[in-house]
Amino acid sequence: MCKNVFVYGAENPAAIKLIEDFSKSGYCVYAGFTANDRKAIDLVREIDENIGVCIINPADPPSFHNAADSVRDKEGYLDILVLSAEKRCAGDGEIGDTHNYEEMLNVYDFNVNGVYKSIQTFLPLLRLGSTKRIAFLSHKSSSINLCGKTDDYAYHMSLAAINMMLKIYFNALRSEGFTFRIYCAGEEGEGKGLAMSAKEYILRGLYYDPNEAFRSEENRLVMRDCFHREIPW
Amino acid sequence: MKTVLITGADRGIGFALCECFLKNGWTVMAGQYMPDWKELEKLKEIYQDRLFLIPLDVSDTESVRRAYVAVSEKIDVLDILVNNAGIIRDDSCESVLSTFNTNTLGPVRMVEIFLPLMEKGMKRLCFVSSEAGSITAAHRTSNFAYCMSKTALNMAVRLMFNSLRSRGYTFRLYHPGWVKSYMSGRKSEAGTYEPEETAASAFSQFIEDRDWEDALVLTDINNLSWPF
Repeated sequence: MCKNVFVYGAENPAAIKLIEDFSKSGYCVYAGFTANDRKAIDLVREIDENIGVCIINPADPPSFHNAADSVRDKEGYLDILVLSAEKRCAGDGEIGDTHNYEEMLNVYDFNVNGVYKSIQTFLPLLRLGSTKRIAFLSHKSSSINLCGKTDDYAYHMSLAAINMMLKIYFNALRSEGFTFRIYCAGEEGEGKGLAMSAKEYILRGLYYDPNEAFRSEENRLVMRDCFHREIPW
Repeated sequence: MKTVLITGADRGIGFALCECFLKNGWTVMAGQYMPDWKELEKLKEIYQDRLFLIPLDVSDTESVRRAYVAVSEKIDVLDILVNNAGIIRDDSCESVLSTFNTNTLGPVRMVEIFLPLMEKGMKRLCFVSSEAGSITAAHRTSNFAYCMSKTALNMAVRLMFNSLRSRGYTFRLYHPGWVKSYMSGRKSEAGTYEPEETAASAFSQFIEDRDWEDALVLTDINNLSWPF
């Protein structure tokens, strides 16, 4: 039986590439679109018409359950959950420009609560699988240490918050055998040669020895880029 | 005479910070969220000329705008802005939003709206954050809403720092320690520090200049650095 993966936020370009890579590797792929984006859905259907397509409205909890039900009905469990959250706020400039705080709140709700609800909804299915892996497609600018940006507050605050969310889930779930991967997309043009793709990193094993738990790489939550470089929080 | 505005000044760390600044001769604009809580009014009786109570709900943009007008009528220049107001809630999606709105967007609103008053002053922006926002140090298995709001605050401060440092602004990002605070509604009996203890350290760090202002660092009550 083939392994399966659910990709949430499937309309995002990095997610579409990942869906293609997983599909070519023989995975049963489910694509969760958080927008009814016909162009992105058609792109995914062109990759493989067998890819499961789900529309999820982050403001509508039943839509998450419908997506999980479609995986449960066909697979009975989930191996890998991949999350993506790329919504940005229009006119979200530098401090001192007038911000639309209501819209910033909406973006945080869409990105952060969307990922939060996804994990909550798919956890029972992940527990039934043997892989138990949760991955997030992030960006280097989610690093509070390294971020050199001056704008896109709602987006950057969302990504940083999601990193924290994953750390808390890591703390809670690692002892159950869950593993986590956070992959950072680089700047445009970076990693187009023989760099490590998101799929390669998400599937990659990290050193783990139960007798050496304290220095097992799998017991540390880290963020890495396409060159396998660790990105500080 | 130097001027400071402190949000969430009704009680706990915010109130203790008001006392510190007042005792050291500052003029204090105290952001008052809970007019029924009478400690600030008692303090006002002592410092009638230098303490001003400003109605302020940092989660409400109009309230922040009204506070700006009220403060502008009293002072021409604001030297230090202390973003202290914060809440802690459960981990429901609704609480994720409301906690973010107060703990994270609140300081963004405050800085953005009060910037014009700070341009001719000391230009110091202070934020009461928390180790709970440190992803590196995170040990919790719950408290998503609060921890995420503080991580997001640290990111917001980074973005502000990237914009405003070159304009002469300096930043303080402070982890107050485990304080016997009022965050849950009434004063906690659990905690390592009294609000007055951590406020004393915060005051020193907030008013003292550093030779390394180009570095953004999360510091604690002992002025030790914490990771993001």
